[in-house]
Amino acid sequence: MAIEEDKQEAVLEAQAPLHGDVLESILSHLPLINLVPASRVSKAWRRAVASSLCNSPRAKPWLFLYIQSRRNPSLITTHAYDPNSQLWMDVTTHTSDDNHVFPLRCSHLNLLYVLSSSKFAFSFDPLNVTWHNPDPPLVWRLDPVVAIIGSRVVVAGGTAEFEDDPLAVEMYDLTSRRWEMCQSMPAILKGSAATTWLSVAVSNERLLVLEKASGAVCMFDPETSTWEGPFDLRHPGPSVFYSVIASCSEDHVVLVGLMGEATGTDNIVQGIGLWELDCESETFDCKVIGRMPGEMVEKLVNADCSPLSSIGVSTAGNLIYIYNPSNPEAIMFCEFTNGVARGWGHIHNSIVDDRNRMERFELTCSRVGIDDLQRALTSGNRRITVKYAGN
Amino acid sequence: MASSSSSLPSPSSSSSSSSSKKLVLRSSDEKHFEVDEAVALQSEMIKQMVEDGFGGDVIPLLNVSSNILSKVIDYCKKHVDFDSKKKMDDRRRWDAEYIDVGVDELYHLIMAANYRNIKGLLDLTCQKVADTIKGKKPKQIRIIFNIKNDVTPEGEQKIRKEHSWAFE
Repeated sequence: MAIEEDKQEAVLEAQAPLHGDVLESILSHLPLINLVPASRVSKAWRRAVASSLCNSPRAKPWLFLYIQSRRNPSLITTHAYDPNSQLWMDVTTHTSDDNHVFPLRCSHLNLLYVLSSSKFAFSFDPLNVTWHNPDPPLVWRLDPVVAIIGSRVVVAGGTAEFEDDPLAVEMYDLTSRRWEMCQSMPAILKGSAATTWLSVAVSNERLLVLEKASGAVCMFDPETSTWEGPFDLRHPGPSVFYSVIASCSEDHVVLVGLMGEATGTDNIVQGIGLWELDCESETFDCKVIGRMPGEMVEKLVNADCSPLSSIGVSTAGNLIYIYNPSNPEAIMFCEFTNGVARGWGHIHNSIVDDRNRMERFELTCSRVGIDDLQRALTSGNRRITVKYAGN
Repeated sequence: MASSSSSLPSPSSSSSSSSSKKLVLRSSDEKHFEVDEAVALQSEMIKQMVEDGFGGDVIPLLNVSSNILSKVIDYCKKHVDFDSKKKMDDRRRWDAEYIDVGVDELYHLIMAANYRNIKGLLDLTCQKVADTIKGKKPKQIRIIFNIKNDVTPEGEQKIRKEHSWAFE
């Protein structure tokens, strides 16, 4: 009888040394990664894990850091940071497919992809367990913009062979598994249609492309396969000389700008500001939402010997990570509450050191739940080892 | 065993707080402990009792044995001291030494901290258990805490299946 069984279970549970509130308090002290084995101890423990996650959700998104050897692109190490427990982890993947022999790149949110003349593969689930392997796009180019909008993946621009159109846009539909040629990017982007110069975000099912140096914005609608713009954003203020955009929760687009003087080789960064972009308005109005504290700006500027000439951001939910993309030794983060940037912090990144400082870094960010971890770990090709506590 | 007021830990608490009011706690094995009120009030449960007018009497702690109670009192005394000094490093060092005990004693301390509602001690003990769990496999956790595995291999299989991940 089910009731009898339940009764028996309740008795067993009450006799167990750790149960109820106490077990839940204990579990609330464990990082998410350690809750995976804990949830497999017994039925009571599984329930306690579920209710502990309900009462203290570890909602801050993880940061993923990929370090790729410049000499041998197949040498990639993956590291993950859980800000809820200030924990760095190493992620090892044992996979038979060869996704990782090609240069690995990432785009907005946690879209990870490899693209060469003969291969295109991408992944966008929280721990990048599932990889999609469609035919490569028709036009071969280097470092195009790659973005995912709903169930479509857009590949736009890139450095192309001279007979090919450098502004070509192709779109892959995940449902029909077909490629479609789209309207080319606006001509204004002709000299800068590659990821080095462009930053992307998605809002209201449309792709926003921002030219980092000028602040010009173009917009692509996957429904009509057409472009609009350029909209002259001209950065949110006269002192901003370089900016990037990122989509965070609920269609909000955040713009992060370097303020100071751009004098070609010697940029003087005096501040880093955060704005929210109003994508509904024709003029893309910017609303100030925060400014990075001075000592953090200094830390970012001083982390590298060369002047800070670009800025990288990764965001998910209500958190944004900000770093120097060529040397993410210092990583700053900021939480948004009610649309205002509060709660600034700094991650001690001991993964980047003298041994790998010259390599190529890619960073992504995504919310990770216990189900995602369970899936990744039980799929058999993933191992996550806790490195050491940050800070 | 008749109630005795022997084995009193010396009440010479180093906390020289102005209120020298004392409370008497009685353990499950009928031993009496006289402590400064400030020390006893570290326990939310006792605080509540005092506020409800339980003041003058002996406070019975039915679930806590004398050896665990004396250890708990040690913690409360020390933390009344720490609260007045605010030396985080000293506190951390003392806590680390204090909590370096076996699973059995740890378990009793957790129960006492939970029952008497002493937040600091509950956090400290839970953190210690959590540290023990870190990096362990389910099987190892069951052995340490003497837990019966009620998840059948079929159940386990089912969970695995539910989470199997389709590769395209």
